[in-house]
Amino acid sequence: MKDPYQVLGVSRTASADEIKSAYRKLAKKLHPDLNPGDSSVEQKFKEVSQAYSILGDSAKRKRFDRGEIDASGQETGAREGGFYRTYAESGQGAKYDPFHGGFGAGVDDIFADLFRGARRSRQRTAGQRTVRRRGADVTYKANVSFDEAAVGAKKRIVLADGKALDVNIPPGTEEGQTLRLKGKGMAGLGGAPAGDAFIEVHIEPHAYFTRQDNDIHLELPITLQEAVAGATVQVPTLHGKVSMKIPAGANSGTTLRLKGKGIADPKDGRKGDQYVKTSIVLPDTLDSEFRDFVERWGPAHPYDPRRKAGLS
Amino acid sequence: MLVPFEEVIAEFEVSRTELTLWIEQRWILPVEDEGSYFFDEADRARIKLIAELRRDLDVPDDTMPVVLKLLDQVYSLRRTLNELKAAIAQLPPDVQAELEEHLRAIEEQ
Repeated sequence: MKDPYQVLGVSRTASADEIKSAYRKLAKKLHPDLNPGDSSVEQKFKEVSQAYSILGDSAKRKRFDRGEIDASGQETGAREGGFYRTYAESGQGAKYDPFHGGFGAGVDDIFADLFRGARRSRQRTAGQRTVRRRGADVTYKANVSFDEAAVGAKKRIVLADGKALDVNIPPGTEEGQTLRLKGKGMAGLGGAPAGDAFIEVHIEPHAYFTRQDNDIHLELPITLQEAVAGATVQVPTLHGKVSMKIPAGANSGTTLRLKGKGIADPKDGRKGDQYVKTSIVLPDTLDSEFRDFVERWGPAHPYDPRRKAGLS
Repeated sequence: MLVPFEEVIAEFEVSRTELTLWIEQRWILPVEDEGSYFFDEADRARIKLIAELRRDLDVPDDTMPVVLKLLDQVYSLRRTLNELKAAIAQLPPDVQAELEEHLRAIEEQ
């Protein structure tokens, strides 16, 4: 139990008036019914009332000063029953709610505000102005595949309320782009139009394509033979497979362009290109014939790709 | 549990005249039955509060209606907030998440 003089913040020689004024100052600040959301004040307030129940009574104060009772000795002055706040928010306190006609002017009905006056207009008699308000906008996220975003698609999105919404994903849709569906948001009130639905598009990465604006990039593995002698190979594009000629002497990093095989620009319809970067892949197993050849050929034909790349 | 007038007078340091006045001013709304008043737990806690506001917090009688009116509004708002919280807890998790996102965005503004 704390020393009541310390709890009230007064000296041992404080006058009765000083003690009363110190207590009032603390009570005004700490009374739990004036601090309904703060659970920490209750204990402090109890200590303060306990201290005042001793020091506020001159007879008890004298006995405490003489050591006849200790700071915890007098529980009689302390609060036993619950504070008003415990009832005020429960059903029991409902009759004191301004809304239920108990006291003074009413608090504005929060629910009425939230649901655009629906509740209030129900409660009021005819002749009140009708509330007309546009429905709220809603935002949804939609995951689309790389291909769907690139060439466009129709996508069905199931909303939180179970309703399905058909969304037209236009060609060339970008990551994070927001599509607006006019009138597909919340219903309006009093004949006002519905809000809009906004669909935030997220594009799933592709297994081998990457995208830069309207161009598509692809790394194409080729064999040593194709690189040395040149070849015509099948290359996947967004628009299906096409034949592409690899020139003789192609290297890892050689980039070839397939004109018009990219994404159509949503604004002017101009098509992007597909860039194919070749990457030479050695056979999985190097047989002795191949090794013998390279060992014979190598020393006679030295070259330094690292110097060319600025690495040495 | 309903407690009659005389018992309430004894329970709190409140005079007969004071409590009658509070009821007349509608600071306290007890149940009335054939001319007698009965007080539930909320009434009694409120009597205690009014007594403390007057005696310990020095709230004058002519200011009391303002204090009580503001307190009642605070509690009314908190009650509404609790209803709202309960209603939100019933919503699907993704709607709750969206609501939280919106509230955070407002907070950050």
